[in-house]
Amino acid sequence: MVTIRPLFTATLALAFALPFAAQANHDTAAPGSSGHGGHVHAPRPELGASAAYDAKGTLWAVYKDGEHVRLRSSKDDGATWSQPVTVNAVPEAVGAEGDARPRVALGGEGEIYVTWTRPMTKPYTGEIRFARSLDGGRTFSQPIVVHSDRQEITHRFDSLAVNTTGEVFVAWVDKRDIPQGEAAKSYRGAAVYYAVSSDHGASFRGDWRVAEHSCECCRVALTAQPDGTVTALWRHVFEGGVRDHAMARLGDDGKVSAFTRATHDDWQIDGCPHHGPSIARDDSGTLHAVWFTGAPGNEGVQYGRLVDGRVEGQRRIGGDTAEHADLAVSGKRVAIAWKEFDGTESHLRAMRSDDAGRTWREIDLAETAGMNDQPRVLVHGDTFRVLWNSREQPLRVVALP
Amino acid sequence: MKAALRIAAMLVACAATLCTAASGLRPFGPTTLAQVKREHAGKPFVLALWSLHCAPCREEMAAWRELHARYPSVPIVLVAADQPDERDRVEGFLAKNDPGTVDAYVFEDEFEERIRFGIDPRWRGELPRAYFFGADHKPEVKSGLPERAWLDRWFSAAAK
Repeated sequence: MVTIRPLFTATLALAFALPFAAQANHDTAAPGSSGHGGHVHAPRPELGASAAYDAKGTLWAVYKDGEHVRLRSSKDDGATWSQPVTVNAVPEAVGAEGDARPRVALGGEGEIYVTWTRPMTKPYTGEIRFARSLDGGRTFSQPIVVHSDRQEITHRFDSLAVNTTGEVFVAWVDKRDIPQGEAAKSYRGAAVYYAVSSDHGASFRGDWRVAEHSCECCRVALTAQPDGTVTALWRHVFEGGVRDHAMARLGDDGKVSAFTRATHDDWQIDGCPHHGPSIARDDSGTLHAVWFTGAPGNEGVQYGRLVDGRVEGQRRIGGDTAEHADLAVSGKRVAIAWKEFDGTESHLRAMRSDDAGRTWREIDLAETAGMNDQPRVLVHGDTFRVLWNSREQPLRVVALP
Repeated sequence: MKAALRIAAMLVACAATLCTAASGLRPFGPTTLAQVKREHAGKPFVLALWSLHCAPCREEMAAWRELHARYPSVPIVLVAADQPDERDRVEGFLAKNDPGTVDAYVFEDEFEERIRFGIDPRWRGELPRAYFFGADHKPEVKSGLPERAWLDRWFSAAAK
């Protein structure tokens, strides 16, 4: 073993010295550009998908298909799906791995809103893309970039919500505030920014900052409030490198209020958790959340109610391999789904409360032996289902009783 | 003898592929850690997981380089938690940030839960992540960049 190490180094050095164009370019290849530029492996399946019900009970799903975002609909809760509709007619890179995925939300008049991140050439860079359909998903508008900042920097991990008056909120992780040069090294994390459309997605205004010092690699969670604001929950980088969560309320006028530390696990990590939270509001106004912490002694996926800067009813979800939970709320009913891997199969598991999180029952929902996406909890009326996209069963929808 | 044959095989592979660095990066699967432990039986070593998509991991490479130069008797096994189709980029990055004469691997396929489970069922994918195996191969586990003073203490004890 020892004897081949010098050879490895020499081989690397030699390879680097040779004028192979491909070699020199690869370190800056776009993260989403797999399958291009001379890669010998098949494009990896990026399974990040999202879905949402409209008022009539049609389920709309978006997912990545090469350099396109595609939309399919189902009138029978995912048993059968329509032919795909292409959201972006012109091919482009689409981020759909880890916490990144195309997003879909419905407007009050049947509008279909879709966002995704288009990775750019440099590592970690991207822009947040948006397209809408006003004809029931038959055609989509030309995609636009929702932020006015056009530097080739991080604008990633888009999140999408429609507020009570039909305005479209898009939030994302943004690195425009990181100083240039050496000072960049001491800057904590990135920032969360957002933009709002008050004309059903025809245009966006904003580039409003929610907060500096967010985590760089975790999704942002949004939930609409009755007063037209939207609550955002994200992994923050607090003093001392503690990556717990923070929340704030976003107004349609750019006014950000009520910045609060939301979780208190004290997970100190100078690294990338790749594991963002989810949040939903019940009919009495209580905010329910799921998140992940690696804090020693309490590692795992957590559930809790976020009340005035405190966490009520915090409990660890699932077993030692539980990961990537999502949740949805209907009235006082709360449904959580996550996945666990047992060495052979991934299991989709769920937890449901009918009394706003006081008592729970656990349910085993499904399993797959192949690659699979993070689950997404869907709600229509008082019925919960889970979207679990997998290589074996694309856009699988499982009832959560 | 076995090692010599392996080198010969690699040289042939090297010639066949016009000597890209591909021959240096080995695939890491669910059972690879057991094999790495056998290779370092009775000796301390570090299993360091990193990724192109993790900025702190990139920063960590300089620390591994320095530690390896200072404590060459303590093996550092670098495992890129990246996809097979990113192999060329992983190699390019390692060539630029040459951590020294260490063993380097990249995840063998995209089903990362399976590979993570083979290393540590409790690891949820946060990076960087390092397992500091003592001579008895009981690990101390660190998520994120470990403090430099801690690293120096561990490496100097392991090098004894």
